[in-house]
Amino acid sequence: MSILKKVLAECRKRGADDAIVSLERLQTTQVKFSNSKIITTENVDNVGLSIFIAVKKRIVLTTLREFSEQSALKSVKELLSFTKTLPKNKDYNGIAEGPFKYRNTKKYSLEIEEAGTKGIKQVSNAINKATKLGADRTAGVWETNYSTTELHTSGGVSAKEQGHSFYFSIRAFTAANNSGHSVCSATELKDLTVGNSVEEAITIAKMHSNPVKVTPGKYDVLFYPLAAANLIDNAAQSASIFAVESGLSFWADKLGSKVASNNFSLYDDASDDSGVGSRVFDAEGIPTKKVEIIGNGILKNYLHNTSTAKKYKTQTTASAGLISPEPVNLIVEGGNVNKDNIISEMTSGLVVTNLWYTRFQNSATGDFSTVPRDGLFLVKKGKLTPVKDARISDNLASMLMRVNKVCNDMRWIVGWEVSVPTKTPTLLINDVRVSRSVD
Amino acid sequence: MEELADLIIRTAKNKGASYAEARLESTKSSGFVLKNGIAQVSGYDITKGIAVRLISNGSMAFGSTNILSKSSVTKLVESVIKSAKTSAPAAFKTEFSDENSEKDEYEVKQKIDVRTVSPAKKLSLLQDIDKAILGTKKSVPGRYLILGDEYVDKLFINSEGSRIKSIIPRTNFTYFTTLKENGSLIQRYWQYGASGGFETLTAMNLPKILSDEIITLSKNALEGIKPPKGELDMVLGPQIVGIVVHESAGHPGEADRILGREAAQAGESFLGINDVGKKIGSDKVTIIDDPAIGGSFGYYKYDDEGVKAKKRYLYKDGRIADFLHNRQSAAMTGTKSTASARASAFDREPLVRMANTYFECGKYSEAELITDVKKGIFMKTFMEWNIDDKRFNQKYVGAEAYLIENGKITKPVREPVLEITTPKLYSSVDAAANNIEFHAGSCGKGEPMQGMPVWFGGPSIRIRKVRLGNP
Repeated sequence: MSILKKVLAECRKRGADDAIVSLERLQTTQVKFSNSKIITTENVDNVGLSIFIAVKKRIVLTTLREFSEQSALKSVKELLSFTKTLPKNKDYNGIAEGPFKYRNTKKYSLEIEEAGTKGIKQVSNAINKATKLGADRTAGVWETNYSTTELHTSGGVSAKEQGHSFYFSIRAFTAANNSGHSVCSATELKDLTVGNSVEEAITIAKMHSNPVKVTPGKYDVLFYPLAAANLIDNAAQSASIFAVESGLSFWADKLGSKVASNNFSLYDDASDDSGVGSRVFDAEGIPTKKVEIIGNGILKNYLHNTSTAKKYKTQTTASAGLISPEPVNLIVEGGNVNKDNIISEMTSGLVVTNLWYTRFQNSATGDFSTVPRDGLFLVKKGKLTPVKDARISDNLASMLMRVNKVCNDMRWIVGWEVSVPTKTPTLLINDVRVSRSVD
Repeated sequence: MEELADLIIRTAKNKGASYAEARLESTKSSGFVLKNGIAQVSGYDITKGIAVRLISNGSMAFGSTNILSKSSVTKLVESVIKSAKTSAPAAFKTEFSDENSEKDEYEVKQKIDVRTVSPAKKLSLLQDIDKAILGTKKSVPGRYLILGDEYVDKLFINSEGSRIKSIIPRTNFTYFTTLKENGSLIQRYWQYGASGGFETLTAMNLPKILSDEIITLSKNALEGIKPPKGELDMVLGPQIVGIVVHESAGHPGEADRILGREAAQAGESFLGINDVGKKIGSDKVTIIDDPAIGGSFGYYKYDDEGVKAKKRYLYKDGRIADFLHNRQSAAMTGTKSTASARASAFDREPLVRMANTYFECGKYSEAELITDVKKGIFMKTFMEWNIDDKRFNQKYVGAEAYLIENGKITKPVREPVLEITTPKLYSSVDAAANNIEFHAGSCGKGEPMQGMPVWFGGPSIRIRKVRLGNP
């Protein structure tokens, strides 16, 4: 019997009503570079055993990153004692009842040390390419993760999955210190478009020559995918029922209501294997699926696990998180508009290629601000002029109601400022408030 | 387990590393969440792992594992050496500044050991806070309270003979409250933290702090007026001064940012490496970072490169005084490390980080700063802030704020916005008070992200002749 099954049996034996035990191993290799040199490599190997136990609506969770079979079994005893000291969570309604059938996933596999060697080569090539294209210096990271997860529950679930993810981020600078940033990600190495990202970062950096200070005011703003993903990632946190209950959602009490313009649809699709957030099953072992969050501007679903779904008399969206249901692989439905056509037809507006330091003043209302970074351009009669020192100070809930155009340049974004992998095209949002610091 | 750390150093040297360090960390932590009065999942984590960082063929490489066997650790070192050698042709040639090798053991003492306090007692503290909020009789539909503690037992050794053992327990409390008042939702987030035992949490008087804040924010929502327009003076309270010095003195003073190492992640700096001595503000501006403050959230005696911590002046009398350095940035710029290398866990590389950053006290009371303002704003706390990646353009939106008229606080003001450049802000300081406070935060940097416990603070300060941004 595996250690997981023994731990699960121990949980049952000691009186747990519900138990979930899972073992995850995550092997990460990174190649970091700055000033056009590799500055460090990282090889990280982490194994964790998680045990979730519920007894009479008292719930505890532990992750052991130091364990043996003996110590794991001992932890079960400690956890059961722990639950006795806790108050009941009257909102807790159990875990999923399995077993379930799971979709077949691609068995792409690359030995982790070999992946690291390939990463070093790809970064060296990227730096050289950037230099040839005119970059004065570049910085960024190449990363691969290989994870294996095995999960067993008292609900009769037994599930296993393994998967790779690859990610590349590059920020290119010209001699005049103008910059462009681009990222790419994939679940197979052949799909990691490192070369395209190098070209995009340098193109933006070169275009952003001699920027002048922006004039505060309201603008129609074209958010390129890197910037749009930042907004969507932040907005989608409002879809978790946990955020709704905690007062941290600007979509509370909005189910079935209009929350975005008609041309805007948003999904969380953990079953889309092209995204690095994809997974076969959620933290309860339920097979993942495409969940419609916003359909043609209407808020269709909050994200639920089994317990929260029962509380609200609805179905789980297979979005567990044992503590909080959460988005993992967001997709904005693409439109059919070419962003270059929008620019050429734009009489006045801004192009934002990247956003930085997005913070809510109030996540229950959506009041927030964020700082455009790297290439930022004023558009006048279809012509781009570099500008700088802008801050977007607006309301994110309201901005989604002002999405005027959804473009056709869909791509996956993940990175330092976008924690949930998000596939999005360029978005045109009208009447965005732009401010600037007093100097 | 210590023999595994020694094994790392021996293996790395045998494989040709010119420098190697090992960090063995064992962490026990617990966490509790109360959401609108209901206890959510509670839990604890136990982590033990080891890290190696080395220089081979001039290139630096890092690795870690929590599979703690001789074979696993040996394999780890071999893979890290291989990565260093493979990357060497395209790698920056890393050197470290010369520093003393240190041998020491230290422990932050606890009156009440965080590991011995029952889960029920920890949760009851959150329940007391929740009851205090409800006791205000105000409508607070969002009450999200988080309490946590950790006990970190660490061994650092390197190939130069350093061997440092430390035990640092920490406690922290974070909250999000959403107040409904006068047809509006007002949200507030803040964090408290310290190094020490459970007594640090009970000493913070959190039920009173949060209930007082709810009453104040309610009054502000009911009676607050729109911020005035035009040029005015401002008195900024210690919470705001704390975030200001963290964002626009500490971060731009991190030498790795200045040298471009974090350009694709945490960003760069408006400062250049040759800017020491350059004027940044008025002569009333002195900003310090000091890891050695006892009981502080950012406390350490030695950094994660084994360098002994000391008080660092970032800005002194209005001029750039020094930068935060690790051994790499120090070597690159021909100086010494300021003991600023910190890693948030065994599986993270050490980066240049702040510890406890603060604005040095002046000689006035806060009341005296206010008395000398004819027309202005006293911004005591804030709701929202952000700053660009060079740490030049920043914004702070006031939560608790008041109008000052002829030296007296007259009315609450709703959501004043200070949106200002770093030189303009520091050049406008004409006085600092003596009411220093420290506040806790988790500072974000690195990829993957490393949340680092820090304090930031200072006294109230006065800035003259500034303009508010649009609300």
